[in-house]
Amino acid sequence: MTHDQHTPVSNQPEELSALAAEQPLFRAPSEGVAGTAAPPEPDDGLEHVEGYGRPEYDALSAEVWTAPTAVLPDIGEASFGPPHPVVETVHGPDDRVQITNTEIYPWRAHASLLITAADNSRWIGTAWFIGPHTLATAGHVVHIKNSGVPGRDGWVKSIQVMPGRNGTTLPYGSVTSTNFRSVTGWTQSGDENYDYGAIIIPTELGSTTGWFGFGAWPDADLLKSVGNISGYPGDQPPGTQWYDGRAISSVNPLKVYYDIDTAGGQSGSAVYRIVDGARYGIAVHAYGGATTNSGTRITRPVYDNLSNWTA
Amino acid sequence: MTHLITGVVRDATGNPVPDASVYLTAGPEPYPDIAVLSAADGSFRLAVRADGVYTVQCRTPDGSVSETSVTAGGDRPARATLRI
Repeated sequence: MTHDQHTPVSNQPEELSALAAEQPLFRAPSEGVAGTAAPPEPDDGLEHVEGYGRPEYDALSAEVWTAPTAVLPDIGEASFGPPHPVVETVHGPDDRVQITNTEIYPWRAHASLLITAADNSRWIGTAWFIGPHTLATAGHVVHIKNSGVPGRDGWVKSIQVMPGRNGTTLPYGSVTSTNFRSVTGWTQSGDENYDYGAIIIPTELGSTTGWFGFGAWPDADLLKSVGNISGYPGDQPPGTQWYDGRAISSVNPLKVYYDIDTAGGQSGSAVYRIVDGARYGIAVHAYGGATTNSGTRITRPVYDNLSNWTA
Repeated sequence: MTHLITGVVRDATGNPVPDASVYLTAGPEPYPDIAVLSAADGSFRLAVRADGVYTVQCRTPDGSVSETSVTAGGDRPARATLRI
């Protein structure tokens, strides 16, 4: 028996329709109890960081754009792929700036990670507090899939979590976790659309550092948002935190795409927006990409899992 | 299909450099934005999914940076030597 070739399909998956129709869904952040938070931000969706300037082209309104004159790719490339383009994680000028006051919120809610995999190889990554003892991160940070190296795949052995790290300075110390979460879409299927997870730490350190809110917003809200990413890239001095922010480029039902500069080591960073002075994760950064980088979108199921993992 | 990029980080005299962060900066398709630390013998192994040319970069603890391009594909790992 053959499958019916006339089974209808759509380019509007149910999840997209449902998300577009629903009201925004979000959990509130906390600024923690240690010291002071960063000063109030200008209402432009970006963090106010000395030395950071939003690229001029990124701030142009949609009305300013004119039709492209460049040769556009054949639509066949959408199905069969382009002829081996080269893709990079830093696009054009590198706009990242170093965060040096990492002991204050929101920077202290980001953590530098030292990961020890099952084969004892060591990796660096980033995570962000979403509750007193829970940090969100990429699935491939907590569970390695399809490595091609014997003994490496599977849950990592341990992760040393260093919130607000600034080089050799650990303003909130460090805590080691062996307790991780992810979803079968990543751990069994290795599907990048489900590349998210969590680290559960054995202390309530997040109550001190504070945490980010997170939420699921309809496409229209995300597409008019500015995305912010801060994390711990491997191309900078070890353990230093770097920030960049730009407009969200595009979204699909499971991913968010952006031209925010990152580098290896920033997997697991929050992609967040600022709403009325509060910071909300909208995606988990995970991949370098063609003209944009990308993260796993916080949809309703992701929101539900992250919420449950904070319990 | 997974392809391996294996290599070693060495200093100017050929000695292995441990604890260098090694990561991809360019490739033919999206790749995980994570970095591996070179082992005590300077070695590292990264996995990629697509055939093609990748740029591998490293940064040593003392701030030296090196990069090289390798072609991943086929049955054998691509070999990258990063010399500081």
